[in-house]
Amino acid sequence: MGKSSKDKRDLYYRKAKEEGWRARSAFKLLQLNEQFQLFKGVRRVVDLCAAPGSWSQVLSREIYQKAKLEDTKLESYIEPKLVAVDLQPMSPIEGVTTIQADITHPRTMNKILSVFGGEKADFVCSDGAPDVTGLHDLDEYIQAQLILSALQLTCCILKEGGTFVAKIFRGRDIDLMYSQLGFLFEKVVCAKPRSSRGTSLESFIVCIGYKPRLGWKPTLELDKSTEEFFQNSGIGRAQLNKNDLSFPLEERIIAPFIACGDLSSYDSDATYTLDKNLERLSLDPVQMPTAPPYKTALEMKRRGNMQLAVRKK
Amino acid sequence: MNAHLQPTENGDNSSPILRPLSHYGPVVACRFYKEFVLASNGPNLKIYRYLEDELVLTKRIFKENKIHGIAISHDLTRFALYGSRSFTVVYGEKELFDEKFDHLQLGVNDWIKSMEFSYDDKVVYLLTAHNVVFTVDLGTLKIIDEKSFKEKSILYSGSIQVLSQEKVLIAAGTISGGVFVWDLFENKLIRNLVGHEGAIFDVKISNDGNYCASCSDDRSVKIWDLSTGSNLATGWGHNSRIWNLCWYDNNKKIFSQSEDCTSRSWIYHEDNDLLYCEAVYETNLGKHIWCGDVNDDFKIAVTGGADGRLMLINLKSLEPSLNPSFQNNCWKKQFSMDVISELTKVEIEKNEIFKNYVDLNNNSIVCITSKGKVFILKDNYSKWEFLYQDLLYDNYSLTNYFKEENLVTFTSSKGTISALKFDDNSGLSKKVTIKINNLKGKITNVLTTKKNDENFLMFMESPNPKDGFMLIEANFELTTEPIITSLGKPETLFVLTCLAYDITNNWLLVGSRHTTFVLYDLDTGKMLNVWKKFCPGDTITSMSIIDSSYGKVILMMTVRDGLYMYLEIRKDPVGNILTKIIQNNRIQRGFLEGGFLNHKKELILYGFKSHTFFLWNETRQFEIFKEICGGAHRIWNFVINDCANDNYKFIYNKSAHLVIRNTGNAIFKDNCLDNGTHGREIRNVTILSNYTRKNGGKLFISGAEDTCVRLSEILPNGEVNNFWSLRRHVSGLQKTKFIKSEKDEKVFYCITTAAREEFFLWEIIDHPILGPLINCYATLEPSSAEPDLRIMDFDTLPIYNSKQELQGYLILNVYSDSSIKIFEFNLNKRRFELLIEDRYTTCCLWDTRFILKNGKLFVMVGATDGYISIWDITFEISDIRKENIQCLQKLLIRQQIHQSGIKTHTLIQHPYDYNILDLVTGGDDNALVNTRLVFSEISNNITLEIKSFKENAASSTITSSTLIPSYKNGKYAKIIVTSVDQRLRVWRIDYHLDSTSNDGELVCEDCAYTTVADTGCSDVCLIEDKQNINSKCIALIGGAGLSCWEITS
Repeated sequence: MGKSSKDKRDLYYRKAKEEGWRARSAFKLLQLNEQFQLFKGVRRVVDLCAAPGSWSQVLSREIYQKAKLEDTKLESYIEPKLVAVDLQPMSPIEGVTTIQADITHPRTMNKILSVFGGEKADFVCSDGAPDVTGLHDLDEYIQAQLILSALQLTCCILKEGGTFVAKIFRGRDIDLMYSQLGFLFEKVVCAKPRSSRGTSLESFIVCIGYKPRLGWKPTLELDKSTEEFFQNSGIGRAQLNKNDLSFPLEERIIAPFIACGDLSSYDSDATYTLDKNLERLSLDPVQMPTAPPYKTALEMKRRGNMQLAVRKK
Repeated sequence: MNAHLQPTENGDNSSPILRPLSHYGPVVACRFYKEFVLASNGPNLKIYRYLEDELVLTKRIFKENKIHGIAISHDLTRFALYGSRSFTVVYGEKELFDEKFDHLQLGVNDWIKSMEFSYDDKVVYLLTAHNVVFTVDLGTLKIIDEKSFKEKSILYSGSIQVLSQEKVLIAAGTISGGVFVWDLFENKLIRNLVGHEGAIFDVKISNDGNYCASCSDDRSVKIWDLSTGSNLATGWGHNSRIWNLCWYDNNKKIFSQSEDCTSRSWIYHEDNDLLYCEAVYETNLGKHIWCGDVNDDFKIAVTGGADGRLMLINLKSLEPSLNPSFQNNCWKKQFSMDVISELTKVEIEKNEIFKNYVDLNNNSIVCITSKGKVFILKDNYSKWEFLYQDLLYDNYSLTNYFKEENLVTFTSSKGTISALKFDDNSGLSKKVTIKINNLKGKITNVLTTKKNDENFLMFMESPNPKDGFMLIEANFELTTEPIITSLGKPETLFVLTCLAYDITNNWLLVGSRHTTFVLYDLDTGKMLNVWKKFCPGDTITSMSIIDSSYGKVILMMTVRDGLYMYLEIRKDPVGNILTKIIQNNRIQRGFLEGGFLNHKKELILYGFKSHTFFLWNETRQFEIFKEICGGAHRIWNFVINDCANDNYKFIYNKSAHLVIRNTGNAIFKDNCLDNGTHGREIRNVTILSNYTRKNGGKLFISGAEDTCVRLSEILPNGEVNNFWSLRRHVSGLQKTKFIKSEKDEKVFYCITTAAREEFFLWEIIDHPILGPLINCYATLEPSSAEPDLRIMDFDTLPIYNSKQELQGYLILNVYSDSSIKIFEFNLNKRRFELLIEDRYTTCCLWDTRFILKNGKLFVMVGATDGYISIWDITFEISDIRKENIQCLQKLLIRQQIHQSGIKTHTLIQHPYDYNILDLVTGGDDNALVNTRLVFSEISNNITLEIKSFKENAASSTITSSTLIPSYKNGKYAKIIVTSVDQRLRVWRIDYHLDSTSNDGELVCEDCAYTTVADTGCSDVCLIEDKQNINSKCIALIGGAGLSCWEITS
């Protein structure tokens, strides 16, 4: 989140800064929780693709901080354990163990499980999204791969009956994803928080009640692609038949849609008029964005070192 | 979970109602093959004969997936087409060129990154996005081998280089900076190339297997030595991500394509770690050039982009011949004054420079120096000759010329004209001196124009107010005595810049700085009109008459700041001069110096953009030619050698050199094989349904994320032709709609809205000679100095006077801050008056509509909260001559229909009951709902009843819905609905005379898959098909591309 005039266009953006969230997406998880009571009874949580950490902040406040108020001496008390995983470094958050690692690596799974003392997770979430290229089908494929990467780890570490929440883009093949998730969870819902713009394809898949597939043992292995991982899982993904490449059609299902967040809550599509005094007071972002890969190119351009098509002698 | 009709398996032909006609959209793969270019266009393959600019065929290859790559076997007999998880193999040209051939639908369970044929063409290798290579036998079409190397993490790019029967190298570009090069048969890693940052978007091994080229999110191109693994050179220059690379010129050069909409040519010099960028090509529009290919034998390239455009580039023009032969060839030559002095044995003084140079039809160039020396470069630009020196032109001379007539004139400050006539062999055949007497001041500018086949006009200016403008008429053969007359000067600051003569009316138009210009009637010598500061901008750089008839001309005018316009200038019977802008636009390419219509009536503009001179096809939006000359501040001369062959000459001074650049004839019939459409997502499309062009086409307007508004036509066969790309908006478009125009008048109106409160009302005419023209007729001023509101939707109602003449419109706007505003627009005064202003809540409004029923006027809005609201505004509107701006007072309906935002609505009049309107709404919640509105004649009430609720009408957001006109007055209505899941659905609503239970029920009749991603808008019209007596119904579908469908009954 930068320090720009986006403040006015999007009230959630400004509110996030005011309330100390690292990204406006914090409100999305809060509104999803309002609707689905996601955090109820939840103690062991994994936040995947967590950086910069706004969802971890929400989890810390809603699960870790609230548990502090409970009577720890009670026998029923379980200490909350929150783990955030990302390839990027993340500044620490109270009550959250951050792991800088690849979510497809088996070692990452073991690290998470060791934080949980060998117990499985109650709740796994992922707000991850790749940089979009603009090729809609490729972007959708990459996003689906990201969800599958999160899902394969989830299949290994989520307890039976647990919940999985992930960001999706409702594009051409999202009904394939709904159908396949339907094999792994009791209930699959497509949820759109009011803090997510109506003009964006973004939604969240809320998968409630994990039911491990009978006779399929999910195992994370190095050098195994997501396709290979889900082979034999029986979730309706088309299998490769080396002797017959006429590729079968996969089943499609439309998941029920639920808009969440109170109707009286702010509308992320609306333009709000800010108080005149507030308008001038530009807030610094809670966390500065990480350096982009093209920072060298930007620096060169600034210094005038970028090449134009001038033939130098 | 009832998904309403999944698309039919065959994608197209088996759809009972929807039939695809044409598609324009992103081109993500293109390849040269013999005299053809093969290009992808969604799931279609298009084949062009590139030299002739001929589209040979378009055919569907895959049911749904887009073609992302094309591989051709070494013996040129087999083709592999692949994209997403699909691929197919085409055996021979017979199959390739057979439009009806049913290609095998093959696939694997992963995204295919690359395919190549083996050295002996017996198998094909297929690289997946998880770094796995399958070997597919071309006989059995079975996978006979599977190889992978180490990591199976996701790849953003990858390619296969087949070096021999024994050696195949795989290059894999990872998501985070790494490039793996591995040997397929030895199954071992050859190199792990480290140095890039971010995702690798393309990686290609040279065809000798020695080098590797890669590009990444860090916006650099790197080349690597595969024998050592070292990074040889890095190229910087692209302003955004780079998507594609190809090696060419014996692996010395790289051709790259980028998100920044440029292609670049890079050359590697040994011992230089900077990869040198030798050329930049701006070929495509909007965002992203996705693909490119080079034909190394002919040094030509082809690129395809998000704009659906396929452009050809002549890479040889980079290295023009140094030895000019004829004008038909591409050459460049430069001379210093010293060299000319040496060649002609004429001494050149210190500081002596060329004052001007002109190009004649006899293949020679005539120059005059600052010391009045006249030289000629002749014998096909090979031989310099000194003609004479005239000290009258010492330090000051003005040069004019007529290329075709081989005539040059030099004018001195005191008004002495030397007119030089050359013969076909570049010999000086005649020299005549004309003297202008009685001048009080010095001549500061002279302009010339052809009057007719025999005579020309010279127009002179001296700044002394006592001098009139001098007009000289002389004949091209210099045989008769010139006629000199004086014309009155306008009483305003006038600095002569350009001239245009109209032969029909004997009118002379003279342009000046400060966008001032004058019209003279040469029959009477009278000044007919002065236009003072006619438009924003400064200098009028060119004027030309593009159409004229008795008492009327159409003038094209360019203004240096980038503005250009077509003006209709008319003399009414009383003698008043009436002016009307009929076309008005601007280019964003630096300084505009002039323009002309080419042989195809396309508008060609030229000028300077920073350090380059450019020639730009404005009608079709591409650069024809450019020359890096150093910028506008120099003496230059642009020459049209042969417009039909795109043959031009640009002569200029650069660092004490005279440079002549001749483009020669274009090697392609047309640089642009496919015109494509907008460069970014189309947000709205509107068809002018009640007017048919002579060719049977319908005009339509589209608005896109690229901030452009395009005026185009759609022909009955689905072909789209673009006329204008308007750049008045500065933010992404929201809505575009044609509004009701006056009956029988051939003038049409359209409104476009965008963010930053932009609201433009356009006037469109279809000129019999110049074709469709569009001008911004009126602008609604934003409510604040720094507008930040989006005008999300609008509606209009025509206002007529007692004689039933159109006076203006009531305009209803809804905004992103929940505002609702109603204006009265006066067509003559072009003025908007705010009548009603109110606010819904704080949430964004998406949809609005006027409803007129029983003499009452209602306003309906749909919002992001899923509610529909209706107010009665009859009282507020009928009582408008009140001082104050009114509020919305009478809220009749406020009902939630969707869970979240209402994206679209269609109103359908019940065929049997006037008081019933069915409101079909589509939402972000995937639902389609028919809500029945019953208007009471007696009371003011409206009752509302949900007649049909389809919860899962799509698997993603419903974005648009349009009533299909052919069904309007039947027992049922039909609408076409688009959604982001890339489906088009036709829904039927049944009506009955006696209200039975299923009256108003929504029934899905057909569902088809569209390759237009981000499917966001639609419009439908009836179009007359000459082959068919019955008119047919066509739909335009916009998003990331534009598709045309026929809706059959």
